[in-house]
Amino acid sequence: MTRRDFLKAAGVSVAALSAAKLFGGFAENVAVAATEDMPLSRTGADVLVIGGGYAGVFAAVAARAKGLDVVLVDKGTVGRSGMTPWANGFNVFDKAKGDDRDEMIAAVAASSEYVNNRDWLDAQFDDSKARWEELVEWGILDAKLRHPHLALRDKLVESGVRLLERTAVTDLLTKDGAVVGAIGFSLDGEETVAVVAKATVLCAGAGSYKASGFPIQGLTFDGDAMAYRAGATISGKEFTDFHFTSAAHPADCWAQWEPMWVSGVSQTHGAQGGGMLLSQAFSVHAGEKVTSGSPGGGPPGGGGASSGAGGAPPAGGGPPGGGAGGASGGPPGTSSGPQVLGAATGLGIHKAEGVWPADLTGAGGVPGLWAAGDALASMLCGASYAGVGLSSSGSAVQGARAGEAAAAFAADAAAPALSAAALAEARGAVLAPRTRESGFSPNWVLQLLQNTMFPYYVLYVKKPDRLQPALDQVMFLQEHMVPLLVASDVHELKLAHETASMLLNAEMKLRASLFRTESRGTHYREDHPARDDKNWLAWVLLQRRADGGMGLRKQAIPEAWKPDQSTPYETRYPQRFPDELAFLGLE
Amino acid sequence: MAIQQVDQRRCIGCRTCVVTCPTDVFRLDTATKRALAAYPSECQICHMCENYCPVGAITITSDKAMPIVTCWA
Repeated sequence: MTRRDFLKAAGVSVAALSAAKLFGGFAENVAVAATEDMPLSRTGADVLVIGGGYAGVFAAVAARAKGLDVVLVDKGTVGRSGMTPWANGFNVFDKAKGDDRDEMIAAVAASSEYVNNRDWLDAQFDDSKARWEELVEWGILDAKLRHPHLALRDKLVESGVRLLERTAVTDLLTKDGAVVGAIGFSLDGEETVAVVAKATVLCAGAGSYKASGFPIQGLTFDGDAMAYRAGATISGKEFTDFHFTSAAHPADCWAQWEPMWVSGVSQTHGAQGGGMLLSQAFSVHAGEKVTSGSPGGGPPGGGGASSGAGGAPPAGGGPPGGGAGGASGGPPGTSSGPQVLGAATGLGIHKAEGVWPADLTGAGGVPGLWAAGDALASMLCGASYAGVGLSSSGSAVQGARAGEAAAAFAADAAAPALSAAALAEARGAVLAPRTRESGFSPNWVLQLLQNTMFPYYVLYVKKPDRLQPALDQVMFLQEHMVPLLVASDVHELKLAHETASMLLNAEMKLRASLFRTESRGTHYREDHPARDDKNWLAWVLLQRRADGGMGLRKQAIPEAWKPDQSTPYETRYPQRFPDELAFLGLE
Repeated sequence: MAIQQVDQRRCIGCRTCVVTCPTDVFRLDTATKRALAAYPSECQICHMCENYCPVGAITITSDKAMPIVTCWA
């Protein structure tokens, strides 16, 4: 019996052993494997799509429609992984339903505090209705399905897209500076998986630091991390998504998200805001009451004067069928009863963090790479979320565009010739935690990361004398512990790579937060409590330097998109930060 | 806490929970061919496994316990 046979036969007992030691720190790897225990399964493809949510499915279907060989890899299974199962609003621009282009442009710019990308909004105007009609054709409204998002998987199967599910991709394969596929491993056996592809579309979604109360714990910024390592530029990391959870049962996602699950998917229209209220973080900081007994999902504390959506004029149309907020009209993922801030900690703004696009197809700035959805910093939204349903339809629109562009590229490209030595090196990196004799358990390192990044005074109420120590801690964990992570089975191997991705993301968030020396939208700096239009109508771009360090730079938004400086500041920015007007000498 | 053990009398070994869980909590027991919550600490209490289970074999509660953090081992 080989070691691999033994591990297979003893699968459950090995799993039980792992579970028992998951939270230990430095320890012996109780079921260390050798590289040959996890044989390599290699396949080729014209187009590889990583991730099976809205973006990935539309990308794969669009590429397959060109007659190409398309492989889609998902860490879970399509329709059940990532945030897709919980989407119930799909934003459609439809003049026939009263949508007004200029009104929506103004609304999204206001709620985004002007650091959104209007060209990607144009793409929404042009494409969102057609994407919705495709979803309907695929059966998203079919009541016979147990859940609407299973229709996405049905469409992939019907289209002949090859599915590799329950397969965790951990790195992009590169050759001569171009992306030529990806490598990872199966969760259903001890097997390494490599897909060598002419074009790769990254649709791996967003992430959080596995924070409680939000159904996003399967997403860990894997796409951003692997794209960054492959040379792509990343953006949007200083902006923070706000979500609450139940004070009584803070780990209970279902109590918060059941309305999203049962409601089905329907159209939303306009940009009605929907971003969370940064004022709640200020309240915490001031020691004020922050929970609310108000039923029905209204913002804890009753809102108050500081609203992230305060600048958005009412949008035309109106969400048919009650809209995406459910009957309560409150933000998604909010139940009745007292609420506490912190669900989804680490998550950025939908459609506003990830790979920086080189064009309006989501080209990733590295040959052979495209990105879409929450893996793309399209800046469809900016410093806060602009409207319920924009995330799903933004992913669909961007996925289809990226899939078409990747297919056009692949149709003219030769199959990449990746050497056995290069594959062996990549495989070694995938399996390193699995083959290490002793080291740190991923969950223990994750806890240290959570302890560093979860407190409200790091990512919600920011100041350099707290951001810098958090960054020091994150750098230590990256430099000292990531190279020593151990995994005693494939589940723990997934956790090891996820933990490394989350740590890299934490570094990005902390560096970007230090770099943007102003406050804007969901980015609040106590030491710069006001917008600085002179210097910061700009995006923060992150890219790996030649020396391996993280480089930061600023890119100004186009002149034509800047707000009218003759409009009084308080009108230009209706949301108030604490002490903002005094800081500006306006009171 | 969170995911309770799968009811072994009801489970039919269909593997639906294994493919549904977004955080990879479940495995099939190689001997009994029934599902086990092999990694219950990963449960995010999203209830998808319970929603999809065809025989009602899965029970989930609202709370999770914090693991003990130790120095290094």
